[in-house]
Amino acid sequence: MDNIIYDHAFNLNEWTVLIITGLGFTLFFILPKKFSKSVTAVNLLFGVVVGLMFDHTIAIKPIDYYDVGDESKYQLFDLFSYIMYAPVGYLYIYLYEKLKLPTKKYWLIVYIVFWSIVGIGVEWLGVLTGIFHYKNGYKITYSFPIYLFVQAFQIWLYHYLFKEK
Amino acid sequence: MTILFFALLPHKINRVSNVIVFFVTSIIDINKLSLNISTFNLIKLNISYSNWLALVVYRDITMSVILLIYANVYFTTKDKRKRWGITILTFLLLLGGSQLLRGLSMMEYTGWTIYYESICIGVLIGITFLTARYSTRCDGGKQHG
Repeated sequence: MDNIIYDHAFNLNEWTVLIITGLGFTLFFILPKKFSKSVTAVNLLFGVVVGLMFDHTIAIKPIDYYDVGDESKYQLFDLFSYIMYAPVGYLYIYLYEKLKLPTKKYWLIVYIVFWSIVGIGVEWLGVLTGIFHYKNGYKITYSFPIYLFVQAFQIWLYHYLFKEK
Repeated sequence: MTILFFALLPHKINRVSNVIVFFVTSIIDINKLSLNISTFNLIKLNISYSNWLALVVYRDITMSVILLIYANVYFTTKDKRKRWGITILTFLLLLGGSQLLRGLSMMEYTGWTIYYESICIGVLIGITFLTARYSTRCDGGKQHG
């Protein structure tokens, strides 16, 4: 297997992952608890699973649109980096409830678009710091519809599991 | 087929537990395969678009749904024979599935063995059992704590 090495050191990309993970979990712990254990578990796991599924589907051969981390090889730190997505999925639903969006249907579209723009912003930061390395013609704009889909799906799943009685 | 079997199960554990079990098994499946293929070079993939699609479907859907069927059958029966039966059947299906991918030349073991695969499947079934047990006893999918 051809392995591309981008860098060897513990530098900006690893620190960015650690800072985002630290900030995310700090918010998770300091915000007042609003949900039951099952809502919390589903929303924490959602981001991790979706990140893993997409990265390990479109970022592997033969498609191979991007690499994550220091090498094209899957490294142990890459495994850790997926924890970064856990608090994001939780905060997304937390704010959704806090802003009472389930009762404001049209604002939901604005909310999903806003978070997709945030997602693009964080991904761009990831490209700058060396978390993501695009290959085979992949562009950051291709991620936008993926964010729209994933975030709309998370809202649907949340309603399907916890609101539909 | 596995989705059909799952849909036709007469008794199921709650939706939330199913989703949590699916998420946890997906995380383990994906990491197990990626670590073996990419990090440790213990499995080599035969790279083509059709093989890639088959592998992704097997990894993300077939394996996880087989484990979901296991959790649903196990936790909706009190009959010990049925519980043992579904555990052994799940083990054989997962082992058979991985060997089928190998037999069809989609992957080749370059350090990995059936013995390691059996241990991994055993661990995966154990984690599925613990996750399903915890999530069904947790709060049954209530929204607020």
